[in-house]
Amino acid sequence: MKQDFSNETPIYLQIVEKIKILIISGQILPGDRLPSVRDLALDMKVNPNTMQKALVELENLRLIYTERTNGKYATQNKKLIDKLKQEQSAKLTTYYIENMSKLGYSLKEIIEQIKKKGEKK
Amino acid sequence: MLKKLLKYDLKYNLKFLSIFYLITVFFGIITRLFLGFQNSLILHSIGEICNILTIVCIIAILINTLMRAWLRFKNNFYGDEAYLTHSLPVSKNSLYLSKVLSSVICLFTSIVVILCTIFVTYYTKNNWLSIENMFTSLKDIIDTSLIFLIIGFIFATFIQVSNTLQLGYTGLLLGHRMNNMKLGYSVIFGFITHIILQTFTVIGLLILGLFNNDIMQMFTTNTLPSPNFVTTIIVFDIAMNILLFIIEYLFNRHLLNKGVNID
Amino acid sequence: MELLEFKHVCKNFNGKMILKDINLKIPRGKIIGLLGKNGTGKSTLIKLINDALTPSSGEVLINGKKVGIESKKIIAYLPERTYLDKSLTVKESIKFFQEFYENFDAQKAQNLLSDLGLDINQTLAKMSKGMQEKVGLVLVMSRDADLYILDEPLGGVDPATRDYILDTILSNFKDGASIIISTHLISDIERILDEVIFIDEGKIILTSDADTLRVKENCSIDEIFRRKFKC
Repeated sequence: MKQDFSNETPIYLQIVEKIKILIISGQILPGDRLPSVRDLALDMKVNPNTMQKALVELENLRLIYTERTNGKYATQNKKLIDKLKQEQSAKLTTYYIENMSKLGYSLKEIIEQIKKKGEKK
Repeated sequence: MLKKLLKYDLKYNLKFLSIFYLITVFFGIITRLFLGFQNSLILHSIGEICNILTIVCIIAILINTLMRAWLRFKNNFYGDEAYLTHSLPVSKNSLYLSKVLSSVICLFTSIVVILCTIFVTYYTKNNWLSIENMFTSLKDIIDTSLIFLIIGFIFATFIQVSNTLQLGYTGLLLGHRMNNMKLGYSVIFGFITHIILQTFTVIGLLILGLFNNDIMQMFTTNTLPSPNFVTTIIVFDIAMNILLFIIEYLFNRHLLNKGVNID
Repeated sequence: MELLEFKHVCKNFNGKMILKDINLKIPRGKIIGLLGKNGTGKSTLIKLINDALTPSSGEVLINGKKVGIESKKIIAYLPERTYLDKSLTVKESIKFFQEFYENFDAQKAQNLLSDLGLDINQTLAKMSKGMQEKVGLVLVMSRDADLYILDEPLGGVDPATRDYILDTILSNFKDGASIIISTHLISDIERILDEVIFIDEGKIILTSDADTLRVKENCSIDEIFRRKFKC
């Protein structure tokens, strides 16, 4: 899983975002056990220390939790996942509409665009 | 650890030298063969050419033994390889001892090969007899046996060339403490060391002269010395050079322990 | 006891002060970037750790002890130059490392070499400079050391190999070991750094955790470097 990271912002925060997306999109299912810190780090090609920081932050955000056995698991909190999914969707939509407006499209035209492209898929 | 270092140093030097050894012995054999053809001018001439080549090869062996050893020392301690050498978990004493031992051993093998070549190329019963005869005519001056003289001479040469090896190392060690023109300084320091060693030898001889009339006569008069003279000189030469070898060894090792500064 | 410590280290060379009163502490378990322009003392600093140079004053301590046989056992050093005996084959070089270093994994070295497509029976002298550098890197990374020091490991290497080298560095990074990477190619490597040390004109001008620095200056380490070292 080759990941692209920007050097401009803290790496660990970028990792948090990526794992967050994996969880709220269902690529990591609620209650799934996460690979070890080392394996995750190798997978994303980052420093294990950085990965550790990211996991701590994810735990702070309640997106993952640690079992007594020291394994890390994705949250089972469906409400939280839905909430984050909504937030992410809102963010993307706002971004899209803003930029389309900058190009000069009206709301109606934007919706047309979405229908056209959406159906093609 | 020392054994391992020694193994690699020896392998490096002998790998190159063995080619020279083979070529030299080869020419020696050919020389003997072709010089034996007294009847044919062409074949005899080839023999003469091979004779010269053999001598050239013998000189080449000696030069290469020294140069390879010095080159290995320089590259291993001061060249790109030095990064590896100085990161090895071995003491500087071991590193230096390995260099000295390997080069002295190679010098020994070189001398053995040279002697064998000379033997193979030139030895005939007649040749030996004429040398013995010439020697007996000098009975008045030289009081020892021919064998002793030859062995003494070979041994003295061996020790002296070993000292030359080490003074080359001294030159390199001192030369590389300079900031520029390290090789140039190495050669200069090598020469200076050589002169210093020679001076010590002469001083040693003078001191010996205080106890030995024959030696003193050598300095003060023009008369021929007594027959014991040659033995004394040979023994002194060997003893003095062994002493100098030890002194140089300790000095060089001390220098190396002070640390290197690689570019 | 720190893994590596520089105490008031100065280094003169040719009458010039190359390093001026260097004080450093390197902790265990971190990847640290030693960043600076060429000729500012990075390599000198590294050579002092590896006994290729001796300090003019001050001390370099590894696990509390001076540079010596014990420190050399636990440090794996990859210099900028190709440091191997070129008359040997790759196989013989592996054997060499095996004989002198207890913590050397010959099998790992062979695996890495075959990954890179290198023939172990070839003489080093016959290989291109790039291939020689790869062999050098493999041999160093196959050691189980407490401190790895890589001096410009990505210089002059194609992008594919660069990725491979970074991957190898990361997968080699074991608990408790530290890696010091000295380089001026910052953007390629800054992603994996825990901490950065900026060195200029023989002095340490900055030490910081990498992410903290990014937040503070709101840009990449590469950008910070360019700003600080503007000509």
